[in-house]
Amino acid sequence: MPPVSGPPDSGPRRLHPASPFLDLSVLGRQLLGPGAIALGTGGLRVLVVLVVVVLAVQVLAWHRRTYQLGDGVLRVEGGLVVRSQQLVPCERIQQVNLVQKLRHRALGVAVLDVETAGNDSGVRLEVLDIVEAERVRTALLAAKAKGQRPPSGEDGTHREGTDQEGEDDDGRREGPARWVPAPWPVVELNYRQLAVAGMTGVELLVIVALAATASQVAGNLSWSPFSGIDLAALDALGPLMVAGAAVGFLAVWLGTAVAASILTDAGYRLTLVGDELHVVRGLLDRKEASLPLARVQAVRITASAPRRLLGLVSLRIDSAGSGSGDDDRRVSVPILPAADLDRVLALVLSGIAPLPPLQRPPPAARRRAVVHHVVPALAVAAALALVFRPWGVLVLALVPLMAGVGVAAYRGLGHALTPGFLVTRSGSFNRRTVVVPLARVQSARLQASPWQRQAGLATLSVDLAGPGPVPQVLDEAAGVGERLLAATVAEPLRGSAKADPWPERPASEAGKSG
Amino acid sequence: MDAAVVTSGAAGDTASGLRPLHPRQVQAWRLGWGLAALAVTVIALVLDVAVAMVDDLDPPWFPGLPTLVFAVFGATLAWRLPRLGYDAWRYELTATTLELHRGVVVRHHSAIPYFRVQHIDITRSPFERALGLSQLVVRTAAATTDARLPGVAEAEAELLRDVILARTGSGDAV
Repeated sequence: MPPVSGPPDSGPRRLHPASPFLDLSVLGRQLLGPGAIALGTGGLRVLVVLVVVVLAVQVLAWHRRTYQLGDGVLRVEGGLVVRSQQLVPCERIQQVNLVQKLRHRALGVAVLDVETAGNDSGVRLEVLDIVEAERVRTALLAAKAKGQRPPSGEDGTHREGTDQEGEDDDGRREGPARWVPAPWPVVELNYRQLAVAGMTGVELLVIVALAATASQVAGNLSWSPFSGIDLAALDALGPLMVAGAAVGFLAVWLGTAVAASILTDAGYRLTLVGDELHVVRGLLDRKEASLPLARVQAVRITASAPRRLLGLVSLRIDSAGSGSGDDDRRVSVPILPAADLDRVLALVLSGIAPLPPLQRPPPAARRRAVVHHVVPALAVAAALALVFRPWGVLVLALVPLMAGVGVAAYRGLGHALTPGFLVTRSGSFNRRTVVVPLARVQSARLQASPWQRQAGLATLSVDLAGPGPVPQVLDEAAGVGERLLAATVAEPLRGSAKADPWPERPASEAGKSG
Repeated sequence: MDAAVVTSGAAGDTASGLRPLHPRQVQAWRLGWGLAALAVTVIALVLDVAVAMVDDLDPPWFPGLPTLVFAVFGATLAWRLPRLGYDAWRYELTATTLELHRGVVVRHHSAIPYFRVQHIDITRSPFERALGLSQLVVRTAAATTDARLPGVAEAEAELLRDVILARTGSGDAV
């Protein structure tokens, strides 16, 4: 393996020497049981011995654990009693993450997370020197890009033989050095934008978590914030005070939301480096993720009602590696002007045209949406009205409201099939739009319940390798559904070659014949 | 419905068309449903006996009636549903996809492109083994892919698997 950049790969390397001491939570967990016993029986001396033993084990494990990058394979070995060896073929990499918690930043180290498709597969190098981590990341992604490109087109079926074949390949293509393109800024967010994101996003719920924790602590201290308050005195203070309190609460509420948003996303930069998306974010804990464009499984666009009013959306870019909901791994844009959406999509999904107006399902779908919302509401409201007579009858007022929500849900529905992409939208309050490259569709299903059949409707589900909910085209006319089904599982070889930079099949066939 | 159909389909896709499952699959499902119905009936019987043994409890229904209802209802379901399910099942090997049509109440139509197939499992439950049947489970990189093809004769299952795998190619479909 020739050096890709930086110093040459000279055999197996160890992680940063600070590694065994850094993960305090692991240390704490290991010491918890024995520590309690020690304190119970022998006192401090036994505890000290235990700490030393645990640390010694950690250091030994660190001593054993090595990584090596060569022949297009990342090889990680380790294990004290049971020896393990993990091989990750670089062309199989889905995403590479670099996470720097606050303690890591203090020491100038980082956690490198290499993800492949599948649940929790891939390896985690915890921790590396930051310079070394960046070098390994660059080398991995370069090796991956090399493995992806036709005509080398290696695939996993030859994993055993990669050593020799890889050598051969590398030898042939060694000539021109890898050209590292300059980063192309896609999205950068300033504090003002992050503040808006916080005040319109899920960060608004942070205060609930804070309040829960606070109340628990207060409960433990058997202290109630309201015990000292004399309600009569409050009454005397008048409405001015109450208004003041409300304003104060609002300020605290929005303040925590803004703070949460800035904590997670300060310094947000999404850049395009060659064929890779690169995200950097975080005020205290710094998180970086690198995602090859060819690995994008879907782009999910979310717009809540307040954000729709402000003309804002948020994006999430899924790879098959990004585990479900893991905050460290997500590649997302917390806030983006809707007007900017087409520009960003064009950079993330090569070959996509500006999003066309979506086609709405037939009116029968509106009836279904209304019925879907009204029937459960009616059942609950009727039960409540019966139980809490006479005032429970008021709950029935919710039923027309739910009918309105049903109509809104119908208005949220829509789909479009553009060359190489399926766009589908749903949601009443939160509008969720998913853009799926057809080249990434694993399989598709059309299903129709008896009611749907009666109305001539069907729902299309598109199976993807990535995490997250299955994209669906809800309640579309059955004929349209059949057409979409056929279109989504058609082989994306000739039709949308542009949409898929490295189509799999010609690549591998060329590789085999060559 | 035999091996010849599959091989001809593999050769030129000219013979492709909707195919039913193996007729014996009805018996396999009936056995499964029958066992479930039997289990429910036994539970009903135990409860019935228990109620009858308690002296003070005087149920408003005729002793043994619930057991009878469960037995008749269960037997009817176990007899009818497999037939309906069988009639609703069709599969097709098109030029590029494996297509499955199924479902009595909710109709499903799944399409799995061959080149997305990661691997194929063949499973045989005891009933299926007794009847000489197999179930093909086709897997893609998506965990949500729904591709179970029951009711394939044992020898044919392996043939079918090989036909699909031969059309898979060897691309990295993720």
